[in-house]
Amino acid sequence: MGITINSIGLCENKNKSVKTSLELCRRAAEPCIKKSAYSKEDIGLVVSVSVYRDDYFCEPSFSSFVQNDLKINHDKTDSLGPKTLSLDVLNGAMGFLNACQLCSAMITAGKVKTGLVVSSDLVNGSISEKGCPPGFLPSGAAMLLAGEKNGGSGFKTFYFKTFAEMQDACESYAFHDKDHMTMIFKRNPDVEDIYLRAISMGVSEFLKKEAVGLDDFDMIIPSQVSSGFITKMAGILGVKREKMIDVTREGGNLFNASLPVAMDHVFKCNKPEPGQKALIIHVASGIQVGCVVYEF
Amino acid sequence: MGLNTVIESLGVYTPEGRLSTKELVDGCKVKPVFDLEELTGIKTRPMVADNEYALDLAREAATRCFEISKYQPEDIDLVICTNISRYNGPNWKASFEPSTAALLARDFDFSNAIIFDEPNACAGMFTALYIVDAYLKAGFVKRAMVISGEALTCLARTAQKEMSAPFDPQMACLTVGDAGAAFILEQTDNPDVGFHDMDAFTVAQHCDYCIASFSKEPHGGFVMYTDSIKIHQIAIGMTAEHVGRMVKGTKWENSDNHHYIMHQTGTRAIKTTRKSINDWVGTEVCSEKNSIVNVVERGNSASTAHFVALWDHIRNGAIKSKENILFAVQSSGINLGVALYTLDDLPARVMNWSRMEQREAIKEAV
Repeated sequence: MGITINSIGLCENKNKSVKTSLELCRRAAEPCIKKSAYSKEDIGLVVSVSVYRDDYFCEPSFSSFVQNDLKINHDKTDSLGPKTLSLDVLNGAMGFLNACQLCSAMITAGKVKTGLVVSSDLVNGSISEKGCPPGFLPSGAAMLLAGEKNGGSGFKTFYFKTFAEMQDACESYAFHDKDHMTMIFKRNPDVEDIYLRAISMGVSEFLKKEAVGLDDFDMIIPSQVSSGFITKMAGILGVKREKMIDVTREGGNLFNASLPVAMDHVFKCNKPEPGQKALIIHVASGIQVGCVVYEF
Repeated sequence: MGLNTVIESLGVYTPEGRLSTKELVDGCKVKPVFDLEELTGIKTRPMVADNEYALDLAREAATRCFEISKYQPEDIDLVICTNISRYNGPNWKASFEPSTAALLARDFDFSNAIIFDEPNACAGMFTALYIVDAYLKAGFVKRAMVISGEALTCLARTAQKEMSAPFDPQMACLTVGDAGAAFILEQTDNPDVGFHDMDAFTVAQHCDYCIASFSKEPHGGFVMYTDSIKIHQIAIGMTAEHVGRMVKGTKWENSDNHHYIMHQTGTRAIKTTRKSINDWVGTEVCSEKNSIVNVVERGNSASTAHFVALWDHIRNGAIKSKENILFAVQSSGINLGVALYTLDDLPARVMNWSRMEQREAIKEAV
């Protein structure tokens, strides 16, 4: 069974009118569900991957608020009939890829029919910021994943690699600074070069393990850090720049929204043929590299 | 797809420090209207040292888990960290990036594993178990590790300063304890052991009954606001139906057959849940004898609570190899879960480890 992207919803928040991560989520998830072939009752799993969200609460899961807000099997009074499990996957900008694999596992194992992954990272005004700017563009994104019984399309291989020795290059934490909480974003000035070094090693290992080459892929979907970063990445990988999907925005790194924004663009603009393959290459704090194959 | 998931190894670490309920209550600016010790049954709980944090608890638990396991860190394909607490340094430092799983990759060789955090309130370790079961059944991984380090008594310290009413929404903060837990899961071809059935879901309309975040007061720290009455009403009522429906008409209806490990919030809550389950089933499936009560000396250690209880009761001889356990899970969210489990020889291996550790301690003392 192939696990495919059934629908995508986005809320780009261009004029920054949306002030909360929950609202960003709703504005992305509602059209996503509406466009999909499924009803809310069919959604057995809601996964939020937002690391930075309203009031930075750590309990309960942010996804339970999303499930309630979207009224997805939220008012059960017993364990019978359709029901939904909500949980958060937190892993910097790798969260969305991790959540796609998690949904694939849950659908393949027969635990759920569909999974909704949402992302809406937003630095909340209730905590002041210090250090580097967060560097990401607050965007809402939602993706509904489902199983295609007869299809060979969808997510194929997931590969993740962690380079713990590079970990100090990227860190964020909150702490009590005099009389209020302050969020610190620490980035090594050479963090993009460190990311690229990790990508080079991670991708080489992935290609070797899978016995494939970059020529086997019709397009590469990178982390949407910046246009310059994608150009450097194409150089390091030795692929033509036009093979890289670039949907970067002026306002900063798309962070966890990289995959849904890029995939939405690919479906609308590239109109991929059945059988075409994309190699998704993401990089995140840790330092982690994720390589995922998606067949259209 | 038909193989059972089994707990290959388990490790628990509780810090040496202790904090009594009496000391906690005595330190409150406004004291609870109830006798907290009488209401919850909690006499004392483990407490981290001044320089000990959530990551340290997780690391120690994982180390113990590997000492008991036949596997090394590089053999693990999937690592999920589920701690609610991100309290990782002085001045209430709370980590956001890298994830706890990525931070632990510095201490253990998880370089080739899938790693991420999946905090899900007190149900975190259980929902990770439910997820891992899917990864194993789907054939995505061969073995996985779930880790959590809960440094929570900091909540109690903030509550002591901030509680302003005798029945205050921060009162539940006075029940928590610190602990780390870790376990490794894999599949077994022995159908008599492992998880026979499990289920988990979220009743999200009650998601705001318990919320934890940062204090907005100048003294800082972490806070948790709980509507204890409402959350218990919903969680206990729905647990009774959830557990009842899974055991009714099965061998699990025989109360001599197994142990119940419920979420460890307080002795009275466990007693009420027990009664509610029995009322739903119509017979005593959950007795005083088969219910594990671990909260008295441990407090509520959140996501680790079920596994700290399992560890403690293996080590005190109450839970033995080949015995059955029913896990009943409730958490804010509101998350509910049930799992039916038969132990392999894990208790015997934990006991061997304990004896070796005791011998090492005696050698060191001599």
